[in-house]
Amino acid sequence: MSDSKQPTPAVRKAEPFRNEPHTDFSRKENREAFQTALDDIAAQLGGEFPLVIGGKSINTRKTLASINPSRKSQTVGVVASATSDHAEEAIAAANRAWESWRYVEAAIRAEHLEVMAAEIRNRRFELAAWEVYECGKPWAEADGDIAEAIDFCMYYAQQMRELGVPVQCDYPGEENSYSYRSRGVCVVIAPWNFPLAILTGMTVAALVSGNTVIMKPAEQSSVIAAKLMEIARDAGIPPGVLNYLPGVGEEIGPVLVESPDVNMIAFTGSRAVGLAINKQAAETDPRQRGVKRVIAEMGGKNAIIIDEDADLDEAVQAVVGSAFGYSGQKCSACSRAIVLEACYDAFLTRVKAATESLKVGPAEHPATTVGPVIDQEAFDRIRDFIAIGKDECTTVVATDVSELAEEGFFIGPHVFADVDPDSRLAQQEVFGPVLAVIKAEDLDQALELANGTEFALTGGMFSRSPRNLQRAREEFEVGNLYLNRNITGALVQRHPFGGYKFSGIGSKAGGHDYLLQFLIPINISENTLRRGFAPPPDDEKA
Amino acid sequence: MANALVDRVEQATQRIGRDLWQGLAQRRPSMFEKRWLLDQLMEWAMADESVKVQMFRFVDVLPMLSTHEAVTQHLQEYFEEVRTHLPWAARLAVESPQANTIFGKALAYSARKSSRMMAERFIAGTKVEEVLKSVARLRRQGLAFTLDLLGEAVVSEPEADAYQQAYLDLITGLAPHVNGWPEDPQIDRDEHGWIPRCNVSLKLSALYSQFKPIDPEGSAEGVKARLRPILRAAREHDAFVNVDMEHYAYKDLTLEIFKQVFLEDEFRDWSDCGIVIQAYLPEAEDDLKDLLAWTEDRGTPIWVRLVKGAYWDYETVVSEYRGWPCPVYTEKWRSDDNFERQTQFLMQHHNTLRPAIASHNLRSLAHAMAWAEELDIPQSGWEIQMLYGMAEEQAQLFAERGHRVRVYTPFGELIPGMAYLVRRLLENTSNDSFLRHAYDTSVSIEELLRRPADAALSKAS
Ligand SMILES: Cc1cc2nc3c(=O)[nH]c(=O)nc-3n(C[C@H](O)[C@H](O)[C@H](O)COP(=O)(O)OP(=O)(O)OC[C@H]3O[C@@H](n4cnc5c(N)ncnc54)[C@H](O)[C@@H]3O)c2cc1C
Repeated sequence: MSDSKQPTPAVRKAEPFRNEPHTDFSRKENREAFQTALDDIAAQLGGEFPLVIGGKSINTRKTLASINPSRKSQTVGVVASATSDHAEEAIAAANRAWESWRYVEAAIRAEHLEVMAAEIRNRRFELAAWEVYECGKPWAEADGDIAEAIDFCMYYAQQMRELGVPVQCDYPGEENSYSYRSRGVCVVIAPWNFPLAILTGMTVAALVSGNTVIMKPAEQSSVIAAKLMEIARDAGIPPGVLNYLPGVGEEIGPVLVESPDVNMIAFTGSRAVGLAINKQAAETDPRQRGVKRVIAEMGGKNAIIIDEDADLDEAVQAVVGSAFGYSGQKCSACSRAIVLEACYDAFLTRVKAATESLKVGPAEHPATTVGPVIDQEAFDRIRDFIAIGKDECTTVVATDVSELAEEGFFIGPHVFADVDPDSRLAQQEVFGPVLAVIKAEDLDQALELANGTEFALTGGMFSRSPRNLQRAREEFEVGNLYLNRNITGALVQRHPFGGYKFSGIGSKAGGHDYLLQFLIPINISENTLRRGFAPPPDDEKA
Repeated sequence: MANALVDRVEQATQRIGRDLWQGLAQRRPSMFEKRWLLDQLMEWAMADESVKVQMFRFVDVLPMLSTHEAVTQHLQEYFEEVRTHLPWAARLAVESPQANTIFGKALAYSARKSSRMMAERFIAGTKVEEVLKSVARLRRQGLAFTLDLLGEAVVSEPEADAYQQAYLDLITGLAPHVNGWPEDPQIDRDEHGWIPRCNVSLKLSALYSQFKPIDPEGSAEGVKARLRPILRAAREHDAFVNVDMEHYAYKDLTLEIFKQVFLEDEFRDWSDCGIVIQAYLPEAEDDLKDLLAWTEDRGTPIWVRLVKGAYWDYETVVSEYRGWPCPVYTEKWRSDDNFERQTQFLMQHHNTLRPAIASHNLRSLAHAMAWAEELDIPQSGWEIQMLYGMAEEQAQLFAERGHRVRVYTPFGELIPGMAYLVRRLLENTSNDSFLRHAYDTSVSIEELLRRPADAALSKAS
């Protein structure tokens, strides 16, 4: 149902798809099962995770310790750290494997994804528990991430089954067939903030389209990535088709991106790294097979506009939820609230009180809404932004969590008001629990402020004026616009996700044209007329 | 159950129902009297789903609009889309919406006035003084009350504090006053003795801002800390506290907290408390059985208000959105049928779970009366509850026939009251609403009194 008048084109409906439901934690049996999973995994922490290249497990001299952000003293796993030689090996293995994987039927590749989805579903709480420990994700957020990983497998499988069928355009005397081929070796560089979902999404998109993959997970979430490797292997993905290459991004990243034997890079992460990859990949080595394809999901500086007639009950909850869920460490997170003057005071009062009421604590505890931030580096960077805020703006909320400081990387939610729209706090991505509140005189100014950053990822507006909602539809420069709801938590297929400007290159994850980026379209025309004689067109044959 | 018993109760239900219908025929229904512009709008709303959506959205946003320009502008925006569905009068109004003309101002004024009047039909006032007047008026009509404070969503601890304080003020302010009223035995006494006159209904989720089913222990602690002082004040001032039931996601936690707190030494021997069971949930039966066992263990009876459930639209939409099983019945007759089965259960255990049968459905209520009669439960041994502003003539009639009728009386500011108001409007304009059928002259008394299971059969055929 839309709130306002739309031009009335014929409606094109999305193909049906059923999202994996999130877990209903109001049910006791689910809470108990989740707690059991947490207890089970607690007993398994600290294990070792080797590289997997060409189906072989490889231990490395150097290792990375993945630690629990809620409890710094706890090592979640000790992960192998690849060298540039390992990277070269992985590229070679992926190239070899491509020679056969590329010819595996699309429907069979799709089936592999469905088997992976089933396995993830079977191990759902176990995987979520790993995320709670490794990434400091609170229960429900971890559960949502697993569900999304399942969705990616199922959705891309469904898409590939369709794309795998060539489109015929036959004429008497000529058969034309439009179909897709894979690109080759794809490097997947994934972030830690949706440790299973985003990694799975990029990886299985590449796999199902017939590419082979080198999976380079974030250092902070390499254990969960090892679990995905395990699942892929169990699902029968052949050796070398998927390779697990944890390591330090700065060391192996350039080797992977610059290699002449890599054909594509799928990246999600920061704007700086995304642009660097794009630049490196644009260099053409005479040995390489073609121009590399880069798709990159980068940051956001997302705003929610609060119109004068907004339902504040809902707006306050949505802003607080979007700003502080997973401590603001989502590319979709709300980092600016742009509030119309008429309701500014009422809104700010309630946001302040609501933010101060949030429970900050270890992710293992079900009461926790705001867990830790991912690591020391993030901790320091966010603290710098908070210092700027205290310096330049009015501090509305500065939650003190010093009693948790010994335990983990905790930063309480912060809200700043009277933020100068051009200041760093209003322009740069913080990726932490910090919200800037900005006053706008009218909707014109609000939209101008909202659009006034270099990003265009998510955005939202709370309004009950059909006309103003329509203006947002037309004028708000974001890839994902949310009206009268929170701006995080995109679901596969319902909310294909991705931005433009400096928020991303490429089409939307979980959307119907995402897979096309991993494919090369080919058209084959055959003259069927020989000596004046041609077979009848296809539809007359039967 | 023996068929003979079923038949007997069914016959009694029919007899009582027809008798009540006779009694009602002498009264003019107040619900759909054509007094105001918005009554007219309500009728259009009922005739056309798209008009209904726009209208309720407009009513919902209205209290937030501070200028007449904003009101006319919204009015125009909302009805633009459904213009062609609207009768000519409304079209005229929508097409000439120059906000600053006299006509525009008049339009804004009349929209505001109409919605305020509509709100006043279901909401007893904004301030305690107004509420006092309302409950005094109810009392003169022989009706008891339970008060419900309409609040905004509680999203912070200060807001939860404010909610708690409002209830404390309500109890300490109102109880001494109403306790000074001269006695009316029909509403002040039952077979066990005195019944508190001051009666409040509250929502547990509003007592703690971090009320989250994922964290039952923390939520329970947060709620109980603010609930206990209210219970103490109630006991001290001889007031009754009822715990309302909210969305399905909160149901188990609400029951759990209720059971925890009323098992504490301090409150274990207190019977002036109650909880709600929603018959649109198939789980109602198990929950009631569980409550019975718990109450027997506690050793002090409680009241149970049986309702059908106020969040039907929400539950069906949200469960489908999330891909969860739908927690409510999706056929109206099943809710009605379950309501009757749980009525029977309550009546059969009325000494432990004291029945408060809350409905405006004549069939549902006649059925309850039939069971009370069958089991020889005195009229004072159970009560009928209704919502303020709904089916007033029925409430009157029941009171005159010797029943204790308690009116659920919401009060509070209009902005936070909107969620409640929209629920009432939805209910009153729903195709499945009993009241709507009751005022539809083409529907016969036979149909209105039909047994729910038979209604299902006739629908299927
Ligand atoms: C004193 C009082 C207190 C109340 N307190 C609460 C409370 O704490 N919590 C709460 O949730 N409600 C509460 N209610 C509200 C009550 O649930 C609704 O007013 C009631 O549902 C209306 O039912 P009825 O028997 O009067 O009308 P009817 O018209 O007979 O029934 C309408 C009801 O049937 C159900 N229904 C409608 N369509 C369908 C369908 N297609 N399939 C299945 N079921 C359907 C819905 O529950 C709907 O409200 C209270 C009501 C009263 C009178």
